[in-house]
Amino acid sequence: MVLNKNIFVIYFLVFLSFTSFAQKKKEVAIDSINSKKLDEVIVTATRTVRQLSSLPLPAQIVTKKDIKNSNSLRLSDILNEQTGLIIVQDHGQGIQMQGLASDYTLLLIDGVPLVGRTAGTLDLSRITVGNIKQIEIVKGASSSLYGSEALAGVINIITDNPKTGFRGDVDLRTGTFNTTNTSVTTNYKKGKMGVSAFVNRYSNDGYDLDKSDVLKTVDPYHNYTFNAKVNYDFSESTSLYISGRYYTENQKNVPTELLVGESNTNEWNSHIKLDHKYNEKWKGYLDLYATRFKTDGYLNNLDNSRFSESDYNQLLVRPELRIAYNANKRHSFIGGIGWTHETLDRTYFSNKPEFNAPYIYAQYDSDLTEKLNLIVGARFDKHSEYASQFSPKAALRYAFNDKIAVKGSVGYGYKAPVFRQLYLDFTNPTAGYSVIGYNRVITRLPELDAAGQILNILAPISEFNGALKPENSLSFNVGLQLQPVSTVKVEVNVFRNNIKDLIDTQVIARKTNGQNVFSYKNISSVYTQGLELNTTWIPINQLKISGGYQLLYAKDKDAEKAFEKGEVFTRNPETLKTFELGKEDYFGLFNRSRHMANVKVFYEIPKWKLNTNIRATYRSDYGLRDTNSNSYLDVFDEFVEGYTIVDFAVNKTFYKNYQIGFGADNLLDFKDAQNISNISGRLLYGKINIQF
Amino acid sequence: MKTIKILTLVALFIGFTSCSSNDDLPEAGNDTVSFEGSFSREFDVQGTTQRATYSVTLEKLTYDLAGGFAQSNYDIKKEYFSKDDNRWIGLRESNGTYYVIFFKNISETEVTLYKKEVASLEAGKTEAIPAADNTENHGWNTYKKDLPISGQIKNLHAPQAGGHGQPKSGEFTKFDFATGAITTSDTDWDIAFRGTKIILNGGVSSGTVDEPARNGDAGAYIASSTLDNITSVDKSLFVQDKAGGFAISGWYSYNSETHVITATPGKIIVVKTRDGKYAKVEVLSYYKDLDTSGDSRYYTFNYVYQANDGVTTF
Repeated sequence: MVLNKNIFVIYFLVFLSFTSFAQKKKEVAIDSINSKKLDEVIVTATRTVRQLSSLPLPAQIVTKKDIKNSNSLRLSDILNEQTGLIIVQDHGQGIQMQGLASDYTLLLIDGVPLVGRTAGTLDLSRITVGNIKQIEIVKGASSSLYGSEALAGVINIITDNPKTGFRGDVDLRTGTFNTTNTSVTTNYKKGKMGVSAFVNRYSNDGYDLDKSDVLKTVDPYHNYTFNAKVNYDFSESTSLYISGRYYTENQKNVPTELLVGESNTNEWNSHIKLDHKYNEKWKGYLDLYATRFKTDGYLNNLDNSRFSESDYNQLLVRPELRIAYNANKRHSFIGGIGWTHETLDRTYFSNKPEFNAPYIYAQYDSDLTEKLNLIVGARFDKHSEYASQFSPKAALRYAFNDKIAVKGSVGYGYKAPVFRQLYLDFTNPTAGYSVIGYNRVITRLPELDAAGQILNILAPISEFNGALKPENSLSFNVGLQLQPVSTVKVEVNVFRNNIKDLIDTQVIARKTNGQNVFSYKNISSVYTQGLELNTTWIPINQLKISGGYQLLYAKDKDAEKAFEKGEVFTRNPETLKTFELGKEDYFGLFNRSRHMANVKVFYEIPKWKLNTNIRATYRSDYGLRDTNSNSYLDVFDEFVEGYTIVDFAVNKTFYKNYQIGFGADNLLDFKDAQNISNISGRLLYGKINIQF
Repeated sequence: MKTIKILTLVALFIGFTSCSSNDDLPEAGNDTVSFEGSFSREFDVQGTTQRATYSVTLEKLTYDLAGGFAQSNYDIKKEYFSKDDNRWIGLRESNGTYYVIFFKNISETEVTLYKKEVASLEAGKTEAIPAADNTENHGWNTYKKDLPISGQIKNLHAPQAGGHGQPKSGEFTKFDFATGAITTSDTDWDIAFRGTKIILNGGVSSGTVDEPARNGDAGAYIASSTLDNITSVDKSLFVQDKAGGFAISGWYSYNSETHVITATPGKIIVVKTRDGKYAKVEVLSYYKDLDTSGDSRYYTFNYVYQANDGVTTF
């Protein structure tokens, strides 16, 4: 990719990301004090358009060009190649950021949240990248702006907006496992009105890593994404934006040789935004957002009788009003007030719970001096079902000169208890154990007791009188930005997240059938800390080489203490001799690699109208299971071996508007049938792209 | 010969009583034994563990040999003891054999001894102290005071009916530490197994089906350590089975992915037996022949049993 090549292109990019905020034809206010050059802008970090390079927070952007040249299909593909991020399979393809599980990263689409974490993970393979303009990644707790879920950080998917004229784009890609992806975009914009429509179909036949059984690792599935947008400018100072998105997926489900079923996912998002500029200093934004996420599935026995059914139906409605005040070029404020209404109807819920949470936030962004930028902000969330949250954040950046800057930020993040943790009422029909949500214990446990099902109660019911606390964290980031010469950029960020009140299941009673009753409680505290390094080198205009690395330590504090106190043991499998483990034997949390790295080379050959790239991502050994049954991941456990995935792509343009490409994802055909179900092996593909 | 021996004995006896009655200094050979207790050692003979124990009192010494290879048990009555060279001479009355036993390195926790058969009391007195590297008569051996009994039980079968939502039932498989064996006795058992449940002959029935009646005073607690590192019991921690709860729980880990039950390493079950002696147990496996792909409900465990009354150390 060629950066800063053409000032017009950059301006256009800036302009586009602004259309929803500001008026066209008007001067765009950019914080350009710290840098003389225009560069990439990001809206996620401050909820205002901010130049990425001057931001006091750790953040990165994935551009449309990189996504396109990489021939990525799903959001999970492209995020997995970013420094410090890794896709982990846990009831869906989730993202691990700064060592925190996927439950703790907030996913936004054009600034509003995606829902549908049926088991905690938000499945990123749900999201097509076909209409993505850029992906913004902000690391570090960001609840001061976004409330719940923004512990590790925020990923905001910015989708394309209508561009002037009538345009269209057809993109076809097909390859191994019958992986077929078709995207069609049409777009019309003239004067005050802009409309666009996007359709994507994705399908594949699934794959089978373990040929020894008749079951497939991933069953065949197909999905569709529809997205329509309307932009209308009432006047130079007032504009309206309407977006509707619909996603539907159908997947065959064959979990055992004796069961056959199907699962369906349906999701829609509707987003209406009204912007108004009162004058040069005051601007107002009104957001109305609603989304519904539904899954339903069934499993039948071989004789076609019903084995089980499950459904999940989550609704989120959120109106939000934001006011921005730019006192002058150096001081700006933004404040918002909103209300979240959420309901969930789900199998194994005895009632249909409802969340209501009004919130208010404010942020002050100031260039205190030419070299020093400060952002302070805070948000207050009042919640109907759990303790209210106050989430502050502060960030500073000091630029010594154009070449060296330091930045630091500290912020509070939290994740609200989910419906399941509060309201579940589930008894396993075959094994006989029960799981009761925290808020249901007070009524449900005495009922079970009265029914003679309880042998003894281990946790007194009085422990469930208060409210379950949200999981919360304090996050620290300290970074250094270097640009020794214009072609080289180096960024280092050291991070630490202290997370406490993590919600875990706990046995609260024993049943007469010998099984347990579980509920949820605030139990553990963990921390993640490490270092992230990002470098980009553009030796010549046609060549971009980038490298990234993350060092990570993610540990449970109680586990550390247990090792220190000598309470953890393992048994030599040969001699059966048990021995004590020391602090140095504790590895940390499951599914965390100590080292992750990536190297990417993007190369363009203008005279051939050709671009090509090779991307390699590495993750070091990690533990998935406690194989020696001491309940901790220690160095004597069996680890999943580290691996490298290499992707290769080449695209050539003909007659300006036609492009063909081919490539190989996972060129080296890496597979680990036993441990890694979401890596299918080598995917060869070809693609055609037509623009009109 | 025998008459002479008896006469000598009588003479000695008279001499001893007269000495003590006269409060004179004891003659050589009439010293009071300065150490008492039960001293044992274990050794392997052709792959089987043998255990030899000397129980020393002021009047006699009892020798016990236990194990799969050879067994023996007899008293050696004290005839002579000199604290100068810790020489003990005694008579095994059951067959009239004299033994001289040399002790050295006598401490609170152990002794080292050399035992040799001799022709007579006099021969015992003149026997030279064997050199440290003398290997005749099994040589010099160190015996630990109150050495507990160590054992391993392989594949103790603990079947169970029911489960999966149904009440669990079936006979418990009972184990007796004193004999180191499975038993069907209604009274002489300490712990019993059924499925993953381990119950005690102490306390009251937890309420599950087919539990045997408790008639002993057994107790237990779980300690986090290795079997070797549990060197003494903490009497304050013992609990007994009670309605709705077992004293022994949390000894295993269940893997919901593989459905394998693993004896959690570092979980040592410390037991007070039905008659107030102490034992410690480390379960090694819940599967037949330690093969987790094989049949479950087969316990293999190591145990250490302190057979000496009132001794709380291992």
